[in-house]
Amino acid sequence: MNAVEMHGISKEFPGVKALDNVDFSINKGEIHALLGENGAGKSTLMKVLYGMHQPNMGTISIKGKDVRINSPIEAIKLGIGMVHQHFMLVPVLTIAENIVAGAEPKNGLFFDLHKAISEVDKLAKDVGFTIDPRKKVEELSVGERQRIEILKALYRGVEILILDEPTAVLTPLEVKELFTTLRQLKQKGMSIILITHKLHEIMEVSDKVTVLRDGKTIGTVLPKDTSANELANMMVGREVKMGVKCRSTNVGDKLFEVQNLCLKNGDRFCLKDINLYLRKGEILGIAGVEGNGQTELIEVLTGLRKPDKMCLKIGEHEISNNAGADEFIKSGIGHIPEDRGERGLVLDMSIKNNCILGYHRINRFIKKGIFLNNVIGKYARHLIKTFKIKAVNEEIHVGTLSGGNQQKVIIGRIFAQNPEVVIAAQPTRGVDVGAIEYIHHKMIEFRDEGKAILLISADLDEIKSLSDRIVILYKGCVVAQGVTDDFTDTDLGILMTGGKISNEER
Amino acid sequence: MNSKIFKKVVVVFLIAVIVTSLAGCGGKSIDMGESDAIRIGIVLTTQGLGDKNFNDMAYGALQRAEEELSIEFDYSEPRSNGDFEVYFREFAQSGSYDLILALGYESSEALKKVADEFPQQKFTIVDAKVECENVSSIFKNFEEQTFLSGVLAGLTTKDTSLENINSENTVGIVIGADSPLLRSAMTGFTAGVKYINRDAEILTGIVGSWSDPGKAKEISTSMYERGADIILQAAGGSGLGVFNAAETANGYAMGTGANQNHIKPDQIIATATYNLPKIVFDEVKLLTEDKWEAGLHTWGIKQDAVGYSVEDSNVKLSPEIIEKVEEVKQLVVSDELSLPKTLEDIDEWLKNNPVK
Amino acid sequence: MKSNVKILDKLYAAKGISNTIVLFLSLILALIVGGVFFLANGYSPIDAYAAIFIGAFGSFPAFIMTLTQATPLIFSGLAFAVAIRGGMLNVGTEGQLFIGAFAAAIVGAYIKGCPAYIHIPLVLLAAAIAGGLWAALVGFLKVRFGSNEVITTIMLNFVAINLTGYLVNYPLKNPEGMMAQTKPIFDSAKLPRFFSQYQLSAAILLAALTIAVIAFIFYKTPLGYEIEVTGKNKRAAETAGIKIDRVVIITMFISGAIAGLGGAGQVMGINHSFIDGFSPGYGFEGVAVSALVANNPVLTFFSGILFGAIKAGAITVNRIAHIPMDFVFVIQALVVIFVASPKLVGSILNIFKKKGDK
Repeated sequence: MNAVEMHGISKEFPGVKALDNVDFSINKGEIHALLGENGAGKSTLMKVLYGMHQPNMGTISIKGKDVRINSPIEAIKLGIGMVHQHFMLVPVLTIAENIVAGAEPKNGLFFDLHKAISEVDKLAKDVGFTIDPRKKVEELSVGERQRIEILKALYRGVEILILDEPTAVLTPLEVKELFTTLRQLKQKGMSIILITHKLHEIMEVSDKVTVLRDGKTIGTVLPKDTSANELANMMVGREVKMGVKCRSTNVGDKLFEVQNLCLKNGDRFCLKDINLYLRKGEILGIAGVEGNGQTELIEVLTGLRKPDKMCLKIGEHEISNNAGADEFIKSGIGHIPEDRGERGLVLDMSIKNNCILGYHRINRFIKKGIFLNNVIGKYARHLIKTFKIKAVNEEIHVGTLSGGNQQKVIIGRIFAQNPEVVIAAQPTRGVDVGAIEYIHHKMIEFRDEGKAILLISADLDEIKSLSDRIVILYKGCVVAQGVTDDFTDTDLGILMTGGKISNEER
Repeated sequence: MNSKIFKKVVVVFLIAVIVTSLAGCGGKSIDMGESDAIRIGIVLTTQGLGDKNFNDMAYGALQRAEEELSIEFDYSEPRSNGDFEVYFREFAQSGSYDLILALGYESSEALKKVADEFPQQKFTIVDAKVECENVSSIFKNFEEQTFLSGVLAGLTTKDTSLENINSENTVGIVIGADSPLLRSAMTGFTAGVKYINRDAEILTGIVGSWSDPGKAKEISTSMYERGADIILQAAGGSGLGVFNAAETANGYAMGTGANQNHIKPDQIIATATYNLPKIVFDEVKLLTEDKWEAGLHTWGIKQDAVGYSVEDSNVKLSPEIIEKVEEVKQLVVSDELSLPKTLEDIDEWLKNNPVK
Repeated sequence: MKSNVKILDKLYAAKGISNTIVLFLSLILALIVGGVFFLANGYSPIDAYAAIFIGAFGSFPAFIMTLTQATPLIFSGLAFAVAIRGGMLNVGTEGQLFIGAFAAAIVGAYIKGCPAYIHIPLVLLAAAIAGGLWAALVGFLKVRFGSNEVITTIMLNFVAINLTGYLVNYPLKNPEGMMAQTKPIFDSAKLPRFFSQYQLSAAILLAALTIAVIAFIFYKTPLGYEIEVTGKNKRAAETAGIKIDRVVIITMFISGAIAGLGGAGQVMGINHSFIDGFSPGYGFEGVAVSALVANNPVLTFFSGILFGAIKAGAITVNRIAHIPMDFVFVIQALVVIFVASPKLVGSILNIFKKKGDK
């Protein structure tokens, strides 16, 4: 008897068949990965299980009993819990308060904090977490917050736990810890469903993998019988090459140079004495645990934030420290922002209008101060075609596209303007495998044209596979830089967390 | 631009226009003066009904006329000073009103414009001067309104048998703004006091606002401190401050307009009344008797349009004082005494008019 | 503040739900609920609506009255819609209208001897600049000190209304007559009227023209594009090299200039002087005018006319149906509430549907 059995599930949204006759099942004490590109239907499937969507067809049975799940509340009653990508915690409350919220232990009419604390403490010990229930959530790291979310589900007696892209926000170390936790929970008989598109994680932790594509089940396989590449092929539906190293063969002169960059936030240095350079035809990767100055570095190098001290040159041209973002763009520095929804795109504006964002004042699009609507429309259609953006037409809102296609709009818009240097921050975050492959391919193509890319990514694998050289950032300082292939994984791990290794400069 | 929404709105808009136009044609018969009764239209001031003053008084008078003279009337409440012209035109255009009434000087210019355009339409405006062949313009004599109260104050300030009357021979007046109209109120009051009490001192204060009781209270408190025992307010909404000051300073006060004695019956001894209902009612009555006449009409004590009232006050003035005031009133009614027009004329006028 | 705008946008836009039927039913529902309200207070709803219809569309003069009343509403509705597009809630259109009207009255009455074709544009320019600067001050305070524009605009309303009130009561009062108003403007500054006996003036054409200009700026120029991007996503705008501070101030300037033109229209077309307290809240009603059409600048023309019709009807309402005017404003508010929240109407309709099923 399976813990969950979903059979023949179909779900239609107006105009889209999101799920088409999908089967899915999970045993007690199993970690089951649900793999698929964005838009493949994995989130929809899990939302059906969690009662957020009602299927048009199909049956769900929990522990052999047929059920209809009309809301998340009913799902929780049936022992199904979900940890979303965006945590739903109240930062100013304590861990204990957050965990029990909604099912508080009462002392008469009143909330019993002591009981809450002792219950949470016991629960945490059971699953091997060391936490202080009295601590406030705002003091916790992302990884810790995720554990709180898991505890929250456990507190409600959940036996089937759905995790939506749990590793997207974690550092490599935190990912390891999470996996340890998941294995412990499995030991205790929990069924865990992992929504992900990161192949090596699946290989590492899951017992079974179900691959979805275009709303259909492609198949369920055991990781030990397959390989990452094979999974990727199943997911995308064709041959894909993953994590291929591709070093530049044609590195030229210095193109972009940052000297003595200092940035203070109040009295504290966010960035201190940063020196780095980019040469024609190379990709420089910035490695580091998130929050060690990457965001600030991107902002300074794209004109969004004024440094306290810096000398910045692109070619022979020096950019003043007071220059605004527009001057950076004009000087040929393209910017792929970290967070595409926040800085990269205007989600409730058409693809067409997003295609000219940042370049809307260039002569090509304007005549006598008036937009050339036809030219812009043509340009947008050209980008959609060239960059393989899946969209009905250029007039629809960019927010209706999948993450990967949104990212392609940004990348297309930047690369099509032929900048000298591109500051690419998290270019593939939250993007599906097919799009990642495509974006990486485009970046390498761009590099091979003799341009330079500064790559900032939380995904160490991405840095390692794309960068010709690496700069390691720790607490706002460059702690090491050198040729990528000279660093071992262990070296990088140590340097990123503030440790020292002998022979730092290579 | 979202052409879908655009089209929808246009369609709905057109439907609305068509439907409403049809409904409009069909429903025109609601009431358009089908009876033979005399119809009056009144355009109220921007304060509208419920102001416990002008508008309510005029409305009440018309209700009385409706009963007693069997007229019919309709009213409108404009929202701003820019709206008057629209409202007058609305009434005049309908052609179903025998007389259109207006109140206050705010509407005088709009009235003049519309009256010129509709020469056949009769208009009456109260409290403003509009010279036009089809407009009867009723203007109250503000000197006369405050004169009798002045006489009353001049007599009472010497009657130390009353609790709050001091030995000083001083009274006061607080006005809302320094305007010709209010200066004539001051003239009437001063003339009244001095007429009966030649040595009396009269303190004056100007609030500079019709709705600042706080400032009015400050001004009047200092007057009470300087020895005034009776202060007349002609300051609209600010006047409440004078009444409050009277209470804290143990003085007496006098109101203006509709009888205000009930507001603080222990402090307010009298009100310089303005009998707007009578004016409105009489004007309508003239119309029903076919005696309505265009032109400038100044109404005063003689027509019983202004006067004084001690009703509702708890302060019992001596019968001699009332008797004396009534005597002076008769002199004015019988034209034996005519009042000075400006403050500067008062001294001269006093010489020529010894107390009888 | 950002979140506020988003919520408003969502409320007003609610895409995909509104369609012709819902929009029409919204109007009907507003009338029904309003009718219940009339009945509860002892007035006949049929009489009331008939009076509104007669006053708004029942005759040629009535329709002219509707357009006359609509004119200032179109301006202030457009002004609000422009600010919203730039991500700002300009609740200060009333104040900007007063300032614009005052500037128009001064330039109209104190500059003498130029022909109408110079004087009229000059007066309009003065009004637009005055209203624009008044609003730009709000934008400046926002970008420089982070002041919330809702609060500053509301406060500046008081300042504008009372400042102009003081000026026309004292230093600039027309010495002739008792009324607190400026000297009348010269004939050369008056906007021509369509018919000598009606107040409807070329101001309504000016409103249409202003809408055309705004539509052009919004949909055809980089500035309009920058306003849209800034309004929808400030951080993306900043990233794209748009100087958002500048855009915020310019947006407020344009919004205020339009409100100022609305005030000028009243002075030049209707009153021919600045009268103390001449506006019964034209500026404030702009919020509703704009909300009714999801802040679409072009459609404010139609919602302005709809509101103008209600106001024209309101004038007739207490004359012939003896219903206090305030009731008409209840109807007006109901129309906005129902039309601006199609989801509400949808759920009300669902209730009926469910009952029907049983």
